[in-house]
Amino acid sequence: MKKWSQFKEDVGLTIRGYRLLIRQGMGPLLAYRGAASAVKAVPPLVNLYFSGLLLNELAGPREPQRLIWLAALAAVSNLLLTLLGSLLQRRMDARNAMSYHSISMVYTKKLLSMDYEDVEDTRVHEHLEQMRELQNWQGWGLGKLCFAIEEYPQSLVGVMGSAALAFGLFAAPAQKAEGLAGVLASPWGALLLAGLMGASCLVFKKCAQLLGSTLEDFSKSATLANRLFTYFRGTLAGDHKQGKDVRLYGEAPMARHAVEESDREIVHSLWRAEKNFLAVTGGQTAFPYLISCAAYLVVAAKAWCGAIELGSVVLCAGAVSQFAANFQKLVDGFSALAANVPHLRSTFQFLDMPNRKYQGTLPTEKREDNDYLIEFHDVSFQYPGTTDWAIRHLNLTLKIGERLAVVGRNGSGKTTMTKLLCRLYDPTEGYITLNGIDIKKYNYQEYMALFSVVFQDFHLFSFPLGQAVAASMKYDRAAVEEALVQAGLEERRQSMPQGLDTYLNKDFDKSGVELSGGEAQKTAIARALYKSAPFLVLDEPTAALDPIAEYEVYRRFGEIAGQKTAVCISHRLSSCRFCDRIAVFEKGRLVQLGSHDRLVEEDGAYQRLWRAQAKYYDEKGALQGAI
Amino acid sequence: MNKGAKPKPRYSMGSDIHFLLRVAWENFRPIYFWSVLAVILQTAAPFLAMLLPSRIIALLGQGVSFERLCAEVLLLALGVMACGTGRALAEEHIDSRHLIRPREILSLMSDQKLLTTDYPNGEDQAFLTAAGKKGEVINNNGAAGEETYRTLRRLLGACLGLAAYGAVLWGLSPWLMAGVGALTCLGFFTRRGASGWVFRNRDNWTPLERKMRYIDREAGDYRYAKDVRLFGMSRWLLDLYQSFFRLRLGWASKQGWVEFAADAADALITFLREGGAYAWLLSGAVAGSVDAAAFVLYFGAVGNFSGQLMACLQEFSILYTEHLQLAAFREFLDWPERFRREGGRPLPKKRDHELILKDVSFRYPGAEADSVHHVSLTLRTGEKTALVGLNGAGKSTLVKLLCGLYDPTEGQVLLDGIPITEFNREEYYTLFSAVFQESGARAYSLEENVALSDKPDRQRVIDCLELAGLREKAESLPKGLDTKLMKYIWHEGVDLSGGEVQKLMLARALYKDGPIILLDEPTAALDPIAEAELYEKYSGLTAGKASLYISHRLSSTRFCDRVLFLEHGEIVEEGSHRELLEKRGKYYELYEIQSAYYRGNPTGEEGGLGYEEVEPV
Repeated sequence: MKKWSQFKEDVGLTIRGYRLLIRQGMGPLLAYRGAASAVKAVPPLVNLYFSGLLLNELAGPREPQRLIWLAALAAVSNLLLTLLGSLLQRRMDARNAMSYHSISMVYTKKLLSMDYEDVEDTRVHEHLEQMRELQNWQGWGLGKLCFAIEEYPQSLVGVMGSAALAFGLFAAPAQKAEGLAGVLASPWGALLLAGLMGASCLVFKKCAQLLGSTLEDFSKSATLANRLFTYFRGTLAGDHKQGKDVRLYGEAPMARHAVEESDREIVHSLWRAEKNFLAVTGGQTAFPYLISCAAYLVVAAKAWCGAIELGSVVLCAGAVSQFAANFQKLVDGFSALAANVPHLRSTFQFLDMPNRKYQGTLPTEKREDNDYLIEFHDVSFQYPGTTDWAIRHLNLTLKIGERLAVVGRNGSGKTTMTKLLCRLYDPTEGYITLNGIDIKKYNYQEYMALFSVVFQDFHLFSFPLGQAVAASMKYDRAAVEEALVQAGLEERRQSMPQGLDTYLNKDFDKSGVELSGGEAQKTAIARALYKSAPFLVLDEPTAALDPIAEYEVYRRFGEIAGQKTAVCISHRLSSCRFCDRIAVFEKGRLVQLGSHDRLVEEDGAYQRLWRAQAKYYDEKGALQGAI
Repeated sequence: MNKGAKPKPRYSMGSDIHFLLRVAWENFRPIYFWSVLAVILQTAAPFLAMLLPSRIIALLGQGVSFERLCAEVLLLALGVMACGTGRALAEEHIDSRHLIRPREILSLMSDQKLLTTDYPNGEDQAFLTAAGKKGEVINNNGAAGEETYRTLRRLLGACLGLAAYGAVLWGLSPWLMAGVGALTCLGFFTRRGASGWVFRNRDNWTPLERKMRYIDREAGDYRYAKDVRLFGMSRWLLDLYQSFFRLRLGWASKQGWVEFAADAADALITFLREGGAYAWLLSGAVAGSVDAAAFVLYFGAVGNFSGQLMACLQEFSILYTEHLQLAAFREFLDWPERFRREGGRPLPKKRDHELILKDVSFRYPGAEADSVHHVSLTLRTGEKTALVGLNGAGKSTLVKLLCGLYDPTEGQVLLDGIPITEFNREEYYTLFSAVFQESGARAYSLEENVALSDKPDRQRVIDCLELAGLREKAESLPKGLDTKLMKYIWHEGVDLSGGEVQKLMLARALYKDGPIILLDEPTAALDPIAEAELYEKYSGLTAGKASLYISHRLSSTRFCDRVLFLEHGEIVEEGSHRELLEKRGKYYELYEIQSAYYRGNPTGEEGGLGYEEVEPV
């Protein structure tokens, strides 16, 4: 009973997998593949059939008329079947070129839609990585469903066709059944063949199991090594920017050593696996030959006993071998699908991962006057899976139109605060309100639409500048240009060969532009401005800028921020001078809050930070020269 | 092979094959034995399989005893089995024992080249193009570095098979053999027409494929997930993906039709060949010269002969393609180097050094203006020099000239009076403890990151971490100094923050303890306290060394003896911080802009640099 429900579940998962593929637009691929596969099974059968007839004619009456007809039929049917098969095959190929992408995008789409905290969860990534490795190395998972279609129809048609051809062999009675020939020609011969086929199925099953476990061991011991040499080979050796250190520090031998070690690991794990591979190859190659050998013996015996005509020897022996091979494939195919079920389960575990984040339905108010008020109410936060408080008991109000500077040492919780603010994470304790209502109650997309953020580790995709700023294929060119002007990138844009259509980086276009760190930062600022959200958050917006450019950004900060509420995180405390209030963080706590003028007088964290920087610029120091 | 005139590769096909055979001879010699064995078995198995049915028919026709029949069938069939299985085992052994090696060996050569080639080569488009093609030789199991060994084996097997079936057919009729051969060649060339089309057109879809893979890879990357969510980029990325997908599918479909046309032509040719063979053999049969056994034998031989001939032609054309790939790869490996790598004068064995740029200019290849223009400067042991200037002023280029990563276009770099071109460049590099803007951590352990050596001196590593302000962090890590860096590679490893990486880079430079220290923007990611700590320690760190500190933050100049102000590739002002301030020149202006924020009221009278009133600079 339990087995039955298990079986039902397995079949259900497989069907679900196929439905997913069809929803991904892979229906036509599956259809072409199935048809091409079925047609592929026919020519060998037709050839066998005609060669049997031809040989019987040759061994017998040799009537020219009949010989010519048979030969012509054989050649013409071959031609037509080949044409049909290739037509289907090529239509299938066209779709198949895309199947890798289609399957891979299933996962990417999921990654795009899952909760942010899950995306950052390393366990999620390890799960996905493992799935991808199993798929790329051994084809398990959704890909297997695709390939199974290539085998099934062919082996099904093959089994039926060859059974029909071989039927005559076993139906025909032997005439002079005596001795060894008699035994082989009797049903014992058929039994021998059936026994061998059974044994072959067992051997193949064992082989498949052995191969599976060997590959699994191999990939387990090789994945780290693989990651390592991809890193040293691709990332390090190919990265010209790191090349300066590599040369000056004579790093090549060290890197070489690391690569050699991971190479050795891979080579040795393959060597360890070799004897299993040999066993599998031996079993899988030898058995079909063995069956074919037995088939010839039985058929020869039948012919020797006069049960079949001389010409049918080739036909019958061929049919028996074909039957055995196709039968084998059919059984293999089923066990492969069965073995694929755990991988499908893992795939769906990933795809079914729920979005746990509470998704409110309340629309945010669309206010012309940007009259939004955000309050943190005793908010504490731990990153998932950690026990340290990244933020502790935070109470803070963001007033409309305010400029708030957030300062503190590395790791004091500044960036975490912004992540909570725009709801990439939800607080562990406490809550945040927008205009008095818990932000969780708002529609998530609409809430996020309120924020323009330039993160410290912002990213620009290598597509045309205009699209990268607008984050859309279609956009308002004038608005993008305006945003670029505001971000101070106008001059650079004008120097670009194709203006807004210039590709960023050289990934896809040789005439693409490589932006310097400062220019990239300005582009990210332009992207935030284009979004034109009521809250503007800048996390270290000037780290890569030189003093003049930095000065420009801050000089215009008021203008850029306009009526918006702006939060600015910076290590350059000079930026605080442009802000109404300064929030000072220390070890996750808000320790000071107030204007620059007040805080700089107060004995506290801010004063220490300020002095650390300002002493290099103060007039007295300046004239004293070095400290 | 390519459209337009393509320069002939520097290496001939013979030379490339010789290259690979030598790699095999030096590293995995048994492959020779196993390959020859596989080739022989590969030819024998189908040959015996072809004889089998014909032999059965012949024996049955002769009415021999069943024992005799049985013995011959068993002999042949078991022979087929032994040869077929033996071949498969030999090939499996070759694959998993030996052919895992060549790509590893060639990749090491390529790594070594990339890691040690003259630094400017890494910016040379021609070199990069050559290097970019290395993937065709080492990227995967089907790449030329590995597959060529199989191609050679298959080619040899096909030739042997061709000879065997040719001999059988020759016995029947040389004319038949010639006809079958001609038709097969015709078939080969139609097939090549199609692959030529694919080759000529692939530039239409490889960029699409690259873009699709890029989106597939990057859109889901957790590092970009913040931006993707906040800017609602998933719609954009999926739209882009769809647009590329549609275009790609269009090309795939076209390719399908072209290949179908070739298939159809091929099928017709096969039809003619089969028809001809039938006609020939059947007319023989009617005339009585061909019996059933001979018919089976010869019909099989015709098919096999044609198959082996096709295989010969195909394998040869594959070999040719692989030769082009290998030739390009070797050209990349043998790319000329200009820096001196061996011999040369020994480095001056003294503690005090003087490094001089003498009227040095540098222009990037193809650029319209010099990046560094007639610069002369001297770094001396015991002197702390600061180099300041805006982005793009040429600061980083100047550093590369100093440490020998570039050679100047004009002028000379002299170490203790000797042009640096006279030293072995790799030895020259040992003089420098440098931190660059882009310097990053590596996937080694923390300790190895500091020492960049397999045998680190632990105590010194700890001291250097202490000096760089990273010791506390290092000791808080799960495995201390043995903790691996880069979490995406070592899942139990850690990622350091930007500020921590900069401290690590500083520790690395200190560990190396070179007589000349070059620090290029080493504090951009540090918080103010950490930055100030570095400034305060700077004199101690650089004692007894020559040092150059590069920054666009002018606070850094305060603890240096001498300041060089660089603008548009030229040193426009030079002197101590104080002298430059008194000069009231460009340095002064820049200093005023930065310091205004830190002094009194930013909107007050001092320099009048409040953000509301100031004109753009």
